[in-house]
Amino acid sequence: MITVVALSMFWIILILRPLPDEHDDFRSVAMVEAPEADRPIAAEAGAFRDLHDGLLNVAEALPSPHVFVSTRAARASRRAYDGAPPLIPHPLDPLVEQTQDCTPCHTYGGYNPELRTYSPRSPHPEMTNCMQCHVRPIVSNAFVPSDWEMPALPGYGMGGAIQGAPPAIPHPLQMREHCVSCHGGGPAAPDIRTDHPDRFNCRQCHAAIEAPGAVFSRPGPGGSDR
Amino acid sequence: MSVIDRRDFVRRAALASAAASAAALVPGTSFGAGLLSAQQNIQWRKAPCRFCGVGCGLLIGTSEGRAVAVRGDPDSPVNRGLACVKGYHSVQALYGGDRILRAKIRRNGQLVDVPLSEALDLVAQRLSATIEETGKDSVGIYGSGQWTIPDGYAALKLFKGGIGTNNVEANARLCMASAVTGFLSSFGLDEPMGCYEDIDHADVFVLWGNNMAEMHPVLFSRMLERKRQNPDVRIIDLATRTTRTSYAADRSILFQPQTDLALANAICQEIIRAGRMNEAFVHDHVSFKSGKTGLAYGLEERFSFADEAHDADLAEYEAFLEDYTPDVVAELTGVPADEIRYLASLYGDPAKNVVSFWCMGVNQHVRGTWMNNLIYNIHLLVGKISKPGNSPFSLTGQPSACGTVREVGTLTHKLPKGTVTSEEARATAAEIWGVPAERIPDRPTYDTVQMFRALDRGDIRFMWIQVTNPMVSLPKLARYREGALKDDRFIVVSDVYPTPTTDVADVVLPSAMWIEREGLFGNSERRTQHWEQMLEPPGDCMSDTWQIIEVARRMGHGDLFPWDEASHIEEIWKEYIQFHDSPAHRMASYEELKARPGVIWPFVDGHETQWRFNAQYDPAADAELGFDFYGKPDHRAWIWLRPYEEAAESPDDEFPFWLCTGRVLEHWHTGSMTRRIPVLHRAMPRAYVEINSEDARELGVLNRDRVRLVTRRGSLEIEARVDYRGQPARGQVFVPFFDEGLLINDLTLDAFCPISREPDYKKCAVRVEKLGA
Amino acid sequence: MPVCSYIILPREGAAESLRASLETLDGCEVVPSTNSDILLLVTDTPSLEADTRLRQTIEDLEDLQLMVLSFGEIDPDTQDPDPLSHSRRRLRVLDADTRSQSGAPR
Repeated sequence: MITVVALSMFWIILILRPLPDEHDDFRSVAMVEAPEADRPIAAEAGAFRDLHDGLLNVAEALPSPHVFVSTRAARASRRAYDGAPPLIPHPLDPLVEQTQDCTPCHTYGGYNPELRTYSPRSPHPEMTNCMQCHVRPIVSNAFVPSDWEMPALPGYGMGGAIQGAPPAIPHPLQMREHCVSCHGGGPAAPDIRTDHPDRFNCRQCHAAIEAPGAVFSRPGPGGSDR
Repeated sequence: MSVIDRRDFVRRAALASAAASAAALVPGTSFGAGLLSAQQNIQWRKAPCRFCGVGCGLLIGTSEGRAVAVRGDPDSPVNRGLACVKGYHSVQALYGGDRILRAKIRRNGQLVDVPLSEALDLVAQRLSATIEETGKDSVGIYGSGQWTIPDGYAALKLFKGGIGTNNVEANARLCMASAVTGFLSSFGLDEPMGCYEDIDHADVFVLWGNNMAEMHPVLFSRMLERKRQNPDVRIIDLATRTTRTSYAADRSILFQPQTDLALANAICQEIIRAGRMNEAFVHDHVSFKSGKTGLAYGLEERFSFADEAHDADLAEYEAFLEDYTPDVVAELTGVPADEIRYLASLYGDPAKNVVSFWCMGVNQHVRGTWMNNLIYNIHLLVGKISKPGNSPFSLTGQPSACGTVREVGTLTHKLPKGTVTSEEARATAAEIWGVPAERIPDRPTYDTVQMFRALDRGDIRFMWIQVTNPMVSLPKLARYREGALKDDRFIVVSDVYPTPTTDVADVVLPSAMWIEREGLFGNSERRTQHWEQMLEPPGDCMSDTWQIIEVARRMGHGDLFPWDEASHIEEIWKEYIQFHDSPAHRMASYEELKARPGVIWPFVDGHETQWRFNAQYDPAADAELGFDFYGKPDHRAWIWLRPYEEAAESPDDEFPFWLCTGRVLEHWHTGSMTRRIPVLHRAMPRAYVEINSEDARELGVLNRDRVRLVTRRGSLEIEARVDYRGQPARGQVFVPFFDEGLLINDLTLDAFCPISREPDYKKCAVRVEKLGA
Repeated sequence: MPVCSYIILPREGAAESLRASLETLDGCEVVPSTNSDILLLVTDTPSLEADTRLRQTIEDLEDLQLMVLSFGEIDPDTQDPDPLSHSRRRLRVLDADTRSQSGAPR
């Protein structure tokens, strides 16, 4: 429940930001918030988050050499299936263990000189009870062997039926509405990193597949004939 | 995939990934031939996109006689290398499995394949016979803003110059007619004064009922790029519904349907009250006019209406605006008065450049012409017009609504230059066409809706429909479908796929599509774009231009089209541009257009005119005046006193919701092309009704429940979506119109703007009934 | 059977010699930029151990300024019936990495 409240608060703050007051003549006017107060649709609003946060240039310069950069395979290794909350792959500072506050490193991500790697950005930084979903494995053996089979990862360029066409989005958007978290800038695994993180309207080009494999056919019997 | 293939694929993916990463880290880095091995044998040629009116330049890759790839054309000033999901996949629309490859004639109720020549013979014979039996005004042609310029020109020349009827219309009537009448009444000349480069100079963008993020995505991205580089830029979304655009905007302001009229007047009232009017500009360049009020809604059979302009002055205008103070208007619109003052402050700030964008929200409006006028009023009051970054900009929905329908003039009242009511315009056309001036009738006949009413009544017996799908897109559709199916009506449809319109056809002609023929489109910023034929049309497919010429020759009008198939597009262009040979509208030469990624007209002495009416940029403008609105006899732009008037049909106890219809990103218009593109169909497989979450709760409707929508015209069972993509305000629902299996236009109302005759697809009253599981 | 790709920045003025050195190494494919000093490198090695050795060799090259892994697929030859097996390997790599943070470059 707390998460839900936090989520809606975040969005309300995001969407209903106060009016700018650069107009002297109108500064005396008490501005009110826009009449809509419903929850925004995360899948629609999420991609534009950086635009509103003023975080407009996400591409970062590379730090020193010998950086370990995550890859798609490494990302897969931290998930039981595509879309599962990833494990925490690094040792935790005891203080973090206690506070469960991952936000300093993961709200915006960025290069972490101590770990010589990038901290990935959370696509949902408004959710702060991190260890509700993300856990740190401390042993590598299993209680009993598991027959779990990991489904194949979404393929590269899925839906990119044409050479050079923007690939369709091969995964659901829930909890992953903020595309740039995983696909933009240094923290992103380079094999899924976009070379155009500065374009915010991602779904302009990358379609979110609703009906995989569906083929259009005209309704009704008889096709083109009545 | 074999092991070797797979390994090779992974190696290529690895390389591509590294190249993409390197390009992200060091913009501009390129890796030449090493990455191109897979792209050998692809030939790249330019074409404007087949879909919307933005007119993105694309590079089409062809190989071994097939289109295989698309890139945004980096040389195109429109999109600078970017496209949208429709554009990138556009070539797949050529390869739908049910492409119409042969001509068809209806026999015993069934469409059967026939040789193309037989079908063309039948079309010519029925056209001639109908003219003989029931008169030349009983035949008509109905095209679209997807007609290439030569298609529209050939249609216009045959029907107005050959047959001698003004029964020529196009679906742009359903789309851009209010923009045209808005331009004509405010400025005397059609089409925007500015251009897309305005985006790169603007500080404030106000979007009037325009979900640009989905409908004009490439321009929307250009706007976001402007904001990215200049974080002080403000984007304001004025709408009746919360959309992707609202979420990207800095401010989302919702108003009640139809009240945009009052909102625009209130902004003007507040600008004047706050002393923000640009008095010098208004004094030097603006006239005030009032027109008729208390208008009807075009619902009567054989509707007619003509507006009148009466002189007014600033004092009368200010008195008129007294009814529209922010506090008064707040109640009507649902927009708090402070928001209205804020909007006025943005428009009125002399230090800020302001661009207004609008499209269907303003145009598909029973007072659409007025709404266009009112947005111009705001810009004229503050003098923010015809300057880089200051632009009231009417966006277009179709790739050549401007180039073909508006510039060639494929509307009942139009000629390529001027209107049929003008003796001079008829004389010019007759001279260029080499026909007697008397042949061109001096009175317009039917606008689109009334043309289909005439078809239903039997006043029109023969209709040729090209590149459009009215049996999905007309409002109050059931009436017009029944009309088209009546026994002694003869319907010819030229198209590329079977649609509900080919379902009512007596003859279907297989059309060559887009890059299967040579053509020209004209986009929203007055940019004309040429493409060459890149592919052989499949089967018997033939371009719409050549279909018209073939029929004309069979009817004895061959002298109007004395061209051969190889060069007819060039010949048509050379003849057509004679109509526009003045500094106010001169077009680029065929050679120029072939060489460049589009040219903006007026194209004078080798220069594009990016900002019309401003003597600094426009050679047709009088330098002494500075700004010269030469479309009007007084060389001034006209501010119109246009009041708020109610919608044709508003919600009541029986039908308590507003019904709004529109498009979605993935599908273009009636989906006859985009639904045959797999990725687009999979992303948006069917239509739905969007319901506000509070309303849904009250109705007991859950996401994906089925509901029945009922209006006075019809009903439709459809899946409900709550918080899916857009979010209507309370008391409103939204349904996209692309789905031929879920025809929302059976429910819409055929009320229209009496001046533009453009229907209002955005407002009628509907009831939502929950259906059992 | 790992396939990896890297973005490589040579030391100033050493682009040609670095390229030449890389091209002599087994399992290396080099694609130079046409308008900058950046090189793209794709490595294709028979085992994880060979991959590690190759990377070490490259990292020791005098002319190398910067090397960033862009893409890594450990076992492209198979559909990988148990992806977690290589995932575990990758986890070990990562853990080794993070543990050695204070030590010498890997």
